[in-house]
Amino acid sequence: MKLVELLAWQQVKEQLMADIYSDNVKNGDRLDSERTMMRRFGVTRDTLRRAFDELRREGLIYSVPASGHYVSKNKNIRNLRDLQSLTEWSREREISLETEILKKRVVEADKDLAERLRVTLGSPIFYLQRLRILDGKLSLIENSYISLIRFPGIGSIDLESESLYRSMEEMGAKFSHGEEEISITHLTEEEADLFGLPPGSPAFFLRSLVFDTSSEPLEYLYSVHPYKFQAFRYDSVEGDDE
Amino acid sequence: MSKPYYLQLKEVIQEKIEDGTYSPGKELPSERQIAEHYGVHPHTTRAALKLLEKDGLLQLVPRRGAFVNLRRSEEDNTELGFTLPGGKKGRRKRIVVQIRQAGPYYAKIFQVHPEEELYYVKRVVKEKKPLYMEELFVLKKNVPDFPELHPDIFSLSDILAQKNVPITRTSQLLKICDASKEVRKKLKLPEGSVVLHLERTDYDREGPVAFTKYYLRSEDLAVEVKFKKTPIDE
Repeated sequence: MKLVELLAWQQVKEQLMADIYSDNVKNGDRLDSERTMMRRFGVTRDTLRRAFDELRREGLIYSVPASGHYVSKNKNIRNLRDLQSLTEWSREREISLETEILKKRVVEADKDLAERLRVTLGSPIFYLQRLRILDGKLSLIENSYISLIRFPGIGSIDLESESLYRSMEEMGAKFSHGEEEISITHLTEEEADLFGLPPGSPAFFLRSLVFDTSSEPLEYLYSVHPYKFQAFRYDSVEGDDE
Repeated sequence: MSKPYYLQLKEVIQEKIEDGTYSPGKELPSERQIAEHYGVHPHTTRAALKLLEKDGLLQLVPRRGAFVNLRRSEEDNTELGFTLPGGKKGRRKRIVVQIRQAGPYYAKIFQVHPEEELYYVKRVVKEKKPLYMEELFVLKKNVPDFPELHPDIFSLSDILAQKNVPITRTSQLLKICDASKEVRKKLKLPEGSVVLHLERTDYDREGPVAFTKYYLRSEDLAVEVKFKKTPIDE
């Protein structure tokens, strides 16, 4: 098997990826002009543009017509291992978090909810829909379902300022592990309106179930995140055998 | 009374696996060839191979043949983090297997010199319809005979474990990207589609050994992940 040479645009793309990967390059940095790059790599404008197209498609740069190409590095990266509440996550990164409650009510468990939260049909469930605003930008819509039998006081907490998880912990919940399913959805008109995006825009759809130390479900939630600024990370730790 | 022929045949093949005549990762002669060689009925061969599969010595792949199993990795870390649809049953269709230089970007990912050589594999995993495309990069110095170890049949972690490069941890990043023309074509997606884009780096105790990019057609599929609280504050 012989060594394969990369095509010119692939070489340019990978060199730019290496540049962007470096810690000195920050979000929003402007890349050199096309003219400078053509000279640097000794390639044609078409070759360069092919590389830019690829980088843009992968979300590594964004382009402003008549201005230039800019590095896109400011994804909200949630590490799924941590089971960290958004409150803790944003505090750790010094990102401001505001929460606006859209809906808050008691619903009766239908079959689906009853199965997920392991309660009987018709049990009272606390339903909460929140807009989470990171650094002044609406970043996700979160829907939570919590059994009122397990957490009778949950409805009377000011959840615009208090962390839901902290409140649940104060009521005795011991957060332990969870399962998450991530897929792609398309924004409904209502959601698109809230995010200020065109209806049908792609978005992350997360569905997750969080358990306590004795594997009893604590919370069922699903959330919608516009995809441009969101990524999820999972890092195993050494000796993890599960 | 002597043992039935399928048991005798099983023992003959098992011996050849154990003495290395059929070495790990190698393909056995076809059922028909084995049957002809020993003058037995193909059903007898089939029964013997099935037993060996049950004992974990062989892997039978429909329409491909029988392969001698690799030594299992001690800790199975393959299921850590995001679980892809299709699992082990998905059929892999190889598009490209190449050797290339790491270049500036992958040199950073693998923490090696840009001239270090990598195996590059591109393939599509299908069930009834295409599920995802994957691009795999492996350090050639770790697995010089990577293509001969049937990467379409054995998992990356098993191949690396066979080469004494056990994966001890992994780091994965999931985002959504616009699908490239090639990805759309391979996954049969219309123009303007997006895909789930997963990047995974596998490490052994020394450092990164493999890097994989997955592009998942995911309008009706999901990746799953199990997670647990890291005990920092306890």
